[in-house]
Amino acid sequence: MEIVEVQDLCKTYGTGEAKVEALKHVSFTLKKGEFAAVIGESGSGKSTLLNCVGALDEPTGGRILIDGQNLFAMGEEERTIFRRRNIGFIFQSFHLIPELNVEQNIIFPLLLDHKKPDVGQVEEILAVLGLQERRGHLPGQLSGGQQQRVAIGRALITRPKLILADEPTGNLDRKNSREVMELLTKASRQYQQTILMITHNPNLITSVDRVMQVADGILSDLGGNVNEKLS
Amino acid sequence: MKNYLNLIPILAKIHRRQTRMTRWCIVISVFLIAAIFGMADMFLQSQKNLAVMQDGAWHVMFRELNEEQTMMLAARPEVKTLTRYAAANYALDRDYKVEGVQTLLCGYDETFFALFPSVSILEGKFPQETGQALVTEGMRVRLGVSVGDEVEVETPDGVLRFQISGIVEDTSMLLQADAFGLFMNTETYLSCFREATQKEDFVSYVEFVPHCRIQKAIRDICGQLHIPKDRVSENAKVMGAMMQSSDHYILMLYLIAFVLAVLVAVSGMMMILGSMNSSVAQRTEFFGMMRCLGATAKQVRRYVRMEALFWCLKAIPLGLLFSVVTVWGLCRMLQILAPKWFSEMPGFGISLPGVVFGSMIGLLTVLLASRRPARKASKVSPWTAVSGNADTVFAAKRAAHTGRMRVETALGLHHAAGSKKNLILLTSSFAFSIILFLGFGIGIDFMRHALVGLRPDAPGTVNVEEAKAVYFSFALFVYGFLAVVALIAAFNIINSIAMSVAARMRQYGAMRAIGISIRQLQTMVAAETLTYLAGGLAEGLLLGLPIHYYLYRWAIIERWGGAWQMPFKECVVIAAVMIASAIAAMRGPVRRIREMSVVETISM
Repeated sequence: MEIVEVQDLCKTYGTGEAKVEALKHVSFTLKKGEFAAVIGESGSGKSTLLNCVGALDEPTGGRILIDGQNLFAMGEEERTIFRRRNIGFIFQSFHLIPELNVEQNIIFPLLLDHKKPDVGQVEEILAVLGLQERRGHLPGQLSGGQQQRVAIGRALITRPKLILADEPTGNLDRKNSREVMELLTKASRQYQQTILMITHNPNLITSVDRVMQVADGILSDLGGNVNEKLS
Repeated sequence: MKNYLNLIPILAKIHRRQTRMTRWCIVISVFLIAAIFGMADMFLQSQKNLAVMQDGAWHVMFRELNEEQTMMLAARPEVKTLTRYAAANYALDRDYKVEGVQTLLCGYDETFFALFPSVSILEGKFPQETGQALVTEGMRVRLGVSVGDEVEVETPDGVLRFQISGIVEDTSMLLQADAFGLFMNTETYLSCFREATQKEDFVSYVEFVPHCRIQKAIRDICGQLHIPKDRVSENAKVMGAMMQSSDHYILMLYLIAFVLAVLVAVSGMMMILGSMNSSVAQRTEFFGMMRCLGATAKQVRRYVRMEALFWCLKAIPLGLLFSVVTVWGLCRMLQILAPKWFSEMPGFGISLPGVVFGSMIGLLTVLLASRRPARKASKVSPWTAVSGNADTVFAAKRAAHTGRMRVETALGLHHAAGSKKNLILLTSSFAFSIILFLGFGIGIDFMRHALVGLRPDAPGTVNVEEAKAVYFSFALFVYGFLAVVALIAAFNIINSIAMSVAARMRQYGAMRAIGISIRQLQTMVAAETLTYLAGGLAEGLLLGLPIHYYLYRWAIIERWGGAWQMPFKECVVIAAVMIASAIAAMRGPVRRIREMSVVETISM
């Protein structure tokens, strides 16, 4: 079952001589539970791709379907609500809400939907992330690795169709990076979460199912199969 | 670049938008202070000029001095001009007549005309010789006399003849009584009418030299020349306008005006402090980076303070310029509204006290306001810059309460009340406006009571039209001050909300990415705004009403009696201004949130 369908995606910035084609006719699909990585040099267009797929940025051309729904055929409000229910984000610089504690940060997308969080589910996520002891702490009282784990919890809480991770280990040391990657892999395996991660760290792609590369706005599939580790 | 401080103008250009609010805060504070002092100065100048035209330029009048005392007084270094003056038949009820018409007889020195600029010789000259006299215009018209003619004065002791040396204007008193006036030099007068003059009608008008401490001079003179205090009178209006009056009530009024101007300065300082705090908070990463690169805490502190001074370079002259133009406009308006009272108002004058106080207090305010932000910036750890944890607001100390209300409302409340210091600073600055408004509001009651005396039959012949005009002019002043206070409140609210939102823009961007809707963000901003507003209103009324009560008792009840009444109108007006400002304050930030690019905001 295809969760993500990107068709002929184009994104251009500027006009005239300042015109930059960040994405050129990019197409690919992701299946349920697939953990894919997009690699590329900085400035290659990989962040633009992630922002478009996450409905944060509007493409110049092409279509993006998430679970069969065309993102950019929706109105702004509808798209926002769709995003919070179906797309989880993990950023390089965490972007936690400083005034909310660990538990509140994790359940934040549910609170935005005015939903009561399932206590069992929250406990499970806190346990998986190893944050049970820290649930009452504010982000400012956590280490970088812990903050990124909170961000992963926040991305998982709504059981979204798709998780987008933008250089999730970019601000972390090796030990924390490994832990974060293990958590993402676990999420993909245990919860059948579809994950699209961008990175420029070649070491990270060993734990993903599929690797794509962006160079000068052109995407090429480097292969890999669902649930089959790349050697 | 020779010094790290040279970075200030370079970065100022790049961060123009970020620092715009702070720069405007300085402009407005300087403008208000300079305008208040400037207007007060213009008012005093015009009142002094007017008082000089109405009552003369003399400062003090001594009655019943003997010749020796007069000579010694005239010889004192602090005395600029002394004019002897005596009059007979002042009440026009004795038998001093010219051609059967009651005639006032006066004797004075030639310096009289310097002290009474409203009296002028129309034709001829001041009588230099014995037997010469000035006559009033009325006599010339009615009797057809001219300079050089002789005029006969019938007195109880027989007829006296004077040669006319010149013609002077009629005074309003003579015109009303349909009488003549005959004025001679002191020597002629004394030789003819010494016996006919009542003791108290011998006076000496004194004008002191500029910058003389008049009260001290009076004490010295009375002590040394043995003049009893009850023979000394002050020209209250002129002295009042020169701020030299001994009238305690006038002095207290000046004190109140000064205190209110200081309060305006304090509220300006709070406004600047708030904006600088937030401007520093928004650049935490930058200051951390400076520390990373080896800047000492002291250097960071100096950087922030020098930056504040750098803003002053343009903001203070701009504030002064606005104040000068405003003062011109207000003066012109007063001249049109009440020409008789404000005709002496300088048209395009620049008030030196206004400019001096405006720039000095402005500069001082900025220096004082920059202390705390500078200290804060210097405390940013170098780690913050490199850890990626630098945030645009100072770290929260406790979590928001999301259990009982919607998360957007809870976060909005927490943004306002999460930091007690921030909450106290903002609500206090809002409350301050309410207190000021209620304080200035007493001016309305004061004006109503004080101007009841301006009746058409009051001395000085102020007619009804004039009384009305004066009332309107004072009303313009009082309401003008109230408008200024309301303006501060409005600007402060708009500014605070805009800055609070600007400081959290990155956070809002991240929330948008996670899926908060624009409507929810609007609710968040509204909750924050309402918290400040409610806090400010509560604090302002709780403190402002007792202050109003005591001020009212002192300024109104003790003087005119009556009872204190709750200032409902003032409360409603200032609350309405604040609520309207709060609503207006949300518009800009909400628009910015709506137009923000999530990608650009979170990757900042």
